[in-house]
Amino acid sequence: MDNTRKPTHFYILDFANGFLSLSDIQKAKLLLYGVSLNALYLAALIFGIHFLPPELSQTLNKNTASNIIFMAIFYGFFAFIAGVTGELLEFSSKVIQDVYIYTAILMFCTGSLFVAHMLGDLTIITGVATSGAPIAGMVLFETRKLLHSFFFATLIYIIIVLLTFLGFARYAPLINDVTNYTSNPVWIGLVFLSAIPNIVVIMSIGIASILSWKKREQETIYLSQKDVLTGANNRRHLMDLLTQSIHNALLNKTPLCLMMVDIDHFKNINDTYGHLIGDKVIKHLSDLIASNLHGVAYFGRYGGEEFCLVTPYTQEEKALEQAEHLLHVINHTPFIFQPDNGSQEIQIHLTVSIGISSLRLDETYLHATDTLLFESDQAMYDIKRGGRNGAKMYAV
Amino acid sequence: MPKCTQYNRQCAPPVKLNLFGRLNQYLLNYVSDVFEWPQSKKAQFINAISALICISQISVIYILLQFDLPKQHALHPIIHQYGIEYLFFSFCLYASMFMCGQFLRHTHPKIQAIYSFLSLLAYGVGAVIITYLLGPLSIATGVTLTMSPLVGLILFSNRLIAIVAICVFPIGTTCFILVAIGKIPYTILIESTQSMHQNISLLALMYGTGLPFLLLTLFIAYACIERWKQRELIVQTLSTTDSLTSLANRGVFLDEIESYLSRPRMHRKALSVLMMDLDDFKQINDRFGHLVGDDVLKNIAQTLQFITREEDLVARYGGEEFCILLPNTNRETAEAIAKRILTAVTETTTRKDNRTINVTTSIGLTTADAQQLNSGKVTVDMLLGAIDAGMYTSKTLGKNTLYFNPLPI
Repeated sequence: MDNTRKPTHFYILDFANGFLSLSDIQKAKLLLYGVSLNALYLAALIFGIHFLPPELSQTLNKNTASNIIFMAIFYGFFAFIAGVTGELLEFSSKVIQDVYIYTAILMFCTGSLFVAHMLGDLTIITGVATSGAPIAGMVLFETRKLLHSFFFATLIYIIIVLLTFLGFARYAPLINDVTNYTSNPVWIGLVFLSAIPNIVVIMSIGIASILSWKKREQETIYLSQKDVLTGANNRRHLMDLLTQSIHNALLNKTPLCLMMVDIDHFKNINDTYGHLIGDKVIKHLSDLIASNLHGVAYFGRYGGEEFCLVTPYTQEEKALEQAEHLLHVINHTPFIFQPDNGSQEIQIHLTVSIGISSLRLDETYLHATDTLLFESDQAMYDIKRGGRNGAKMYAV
Repeated sequence: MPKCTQYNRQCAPPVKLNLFGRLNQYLLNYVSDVFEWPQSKKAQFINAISALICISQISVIYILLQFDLPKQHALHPIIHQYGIEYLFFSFCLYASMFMCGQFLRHTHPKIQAIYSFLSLLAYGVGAVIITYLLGPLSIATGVTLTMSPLVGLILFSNRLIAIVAICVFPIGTTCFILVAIGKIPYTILIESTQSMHQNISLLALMYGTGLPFLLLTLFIAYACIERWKQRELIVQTLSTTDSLTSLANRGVFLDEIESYLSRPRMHRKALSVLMMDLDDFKQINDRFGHLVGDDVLKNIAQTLQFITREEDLVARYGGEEFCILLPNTNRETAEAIAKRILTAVTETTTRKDNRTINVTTSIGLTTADAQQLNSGKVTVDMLLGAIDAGMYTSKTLGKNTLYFNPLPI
C-alpha cells in the first residue's frame, strides 16, 4: 500500500489503535470515568431546566428532579472513586481485575437504565443502550463478561417495562404527566441531549475499531495478492480474477480479451545495466500499463518480464486498438536513470511484443483459461519471430 | 475454538459444548459465510431483511385489527386504512429488488455497485419512515441510528456506507427538526401520545418488529467481531509462543522482565528469575533421535507448567534451556520452587519402545529484593548474566543441582 498517501480517517484509526491496545482494566477505568462525567452532565442538564421560563420548566416534576440531581451527583462521585481505584489494581490478581471489569460494565448498564427510566423507557436512550453499546462493548471487552452483564440489565429492563405497563410504576417520573409531553420541547431536548454523548462515544469507538480492523484485513489481503516489486496483481490473484471473469463472460455471452505483454530483449538490459536497473524497468513498464487501463480492465505480473492484461467487455478490434495505443505509449516513454558514477543520464527505449487472444463463446468453461493463455502466448511468439515491437491478434 | 488465556497457558483441550454452545457454534459457522459473499449478494441479503420486516409489520397490524381494541389502545385510523397498503407496497419493492439482484449477479461491476447503493438507500429511507412512525425519539431510532452504520461498515465498503449515510442522514435530521419545532406531530401512528407506554398496539408493533431485527443485527456484529478477535488471537499466539512446547518464547520473557522492572514501586516487591538447562541432552538426541528429544522437551514443559503458580511465566529460552519468571517472590520461596522443579524434572519420564528416559537439570537462580529494585540499578542483562553464570556453576558442581547467584550490587 502506498505509504505516502495518508487516508482521511488516519487520526481516528490512530486513536482506535491506541484505545484497543490498552489493557482491560485501563479500559474499564476509562469507562467508569465516562460514566461519572455523564452523570454529572445529566445533573447539570436537569438543574439548568429550573432557569427556563415557568411555562416550560413546569414540565419537570420538581420533587423528583431534586432527588435525581442528588442521586446523579452521588453516582458520578462513586463512579469517579471506582475509576481512581482502577489505578491501584493494574497489577493485582486476575480475580480482582475481573470483578473490577464486571463492576464497570454493570455501572454503565444500571446508569443508562436509570436515565432511560427517568425520561421514559421507550426512548432513544434505551435503543442506543441495547444496540450500539453491546457492539462497542464486544469490541472492548471479553464477550462472555458482556453477555453476563447484559443478561442482568435486560432482566431489570423487562421488569421495569412490565411494571409501567401494568401501572405499578410511573412512566418517566421526571416529567409531569399533566400535559402531552411528546409535544413538549423540554422533554424532546432532554432526551436528545442526554442521548447525544452516549451516541457519539459509542459510535466513535465502534466505527474506529471496525475501520482499523478492516484496514488490517485489507493489508493482509494486499500482501497476499500483490507482486512485491511492481505492486501489480501477482500470478495467483490474477488467475483467480481471470477465472471469475471468464465465468461471467461465458454466462452472459460478453466478449473478453487477454493480452500478453513481454519486454523485448530484456536479458540485454539486465546484462548491460545490472539486475537492479532491470527491476526498475519492470516497475516502469508496470506503472505505464497501470496508467493506461481502460474501464474494468486489470493486469498482473505473469512471469519475470511478462505482464498479462485482461479486458472484459471488449471486442477484438477494440482490444487491438488498445494494445496499439499501449505500444505507442511505451515506445514514447523511455526509462530514464542516472548512473551511480555521475555521468550523464541514460535513456532506455523499451519495446514490447503483445499477443492478444479473445474468448470464444462456445468454449467450455474448463478449458477456457488454458486456451486463452496458450493462444495469446502463440500470438506473442509470432510477433517475436516477425521482428518484435508489435501487437497481434491470434488467428486460428 | 481454542481459547488461550495467557501466552504460557497451553491451549485447552476441546471441551464438550452444551446445547447453547453447539447452537452458537453452528450459527457462527453459518453467519461467517456472509462475510465472504460479494457485495451485491450482501445487498440482496439486506433487501431480504427489509422485506421480512415489512411482512412482520403487516402481520402484527393484521393481528391487531382482529381485536376490537378500545380507543386508547388502538392505532390511528389512517394506519387502519392505508398502513397495510403502504407496507405491502414496500414489501413488493424490496422483494422485487431482491429478485433483481439474482439476475445482476454476474453483470458489470458498476451495475452491481449501483444495485448495492440503491438497496442500501431503500433500506435507509424505509428505516427513517418506520422510525418516524414509531416516534423520532423512540427505541427504534436509537437502534437503527447506531446499528445500521456499524453493521453496514462490517458488511460493506466504507465508501458505500459513507455515501448512503450522506443521503439518508439529512432526511432523518429534517424529520427530527420538524418534530422539535412542532411543525409535524410526534407520531401519526397513534392518536394520543399521553399513555404511549400502555398502548398495546404500539408496544406490539415496536417489540414485534424491532426485537427480531435487533437480535439479527446484533448477531451479525457479534459473529464478525468474534471472527476478528479469533484471528488476532491466532496471530498473537503465533508470535508469542514457542511452537514445540507452547510455552512463551524468549521475546515475551524478556519483555515481561522489562515490564516488571518498570512497574510502580508499590507493585514490585521482589523478583526471582531462574534458568534451567537439561543435563546431557545432546546424548538423548544422539541415542534416541531428535523426535524423542522433542518429546522429552514437551514433557518437561508440561511438568513446568503444572508445578509453577498461576502468576509465574515459564518460557523456552533456547534449545534445551528454560527460564522461569517468579514475580513477587523472595529468595526462600524461589529456592523452594527450584528444589521442587529439580525433583519434578527427575520424575518426569518419557517412554520410547519400552525404554524410559529420565533427565536431570541444572538450575541457576537469582533474586532482586525490594531494596535492589528500588535503587534502579537492576537491568535485564544483569539478571540474565547472573542466572546464566549460576547455571554454569551448578553444572560444574556436578549437575542436577541448584545454585543461587546473588546480583552484583
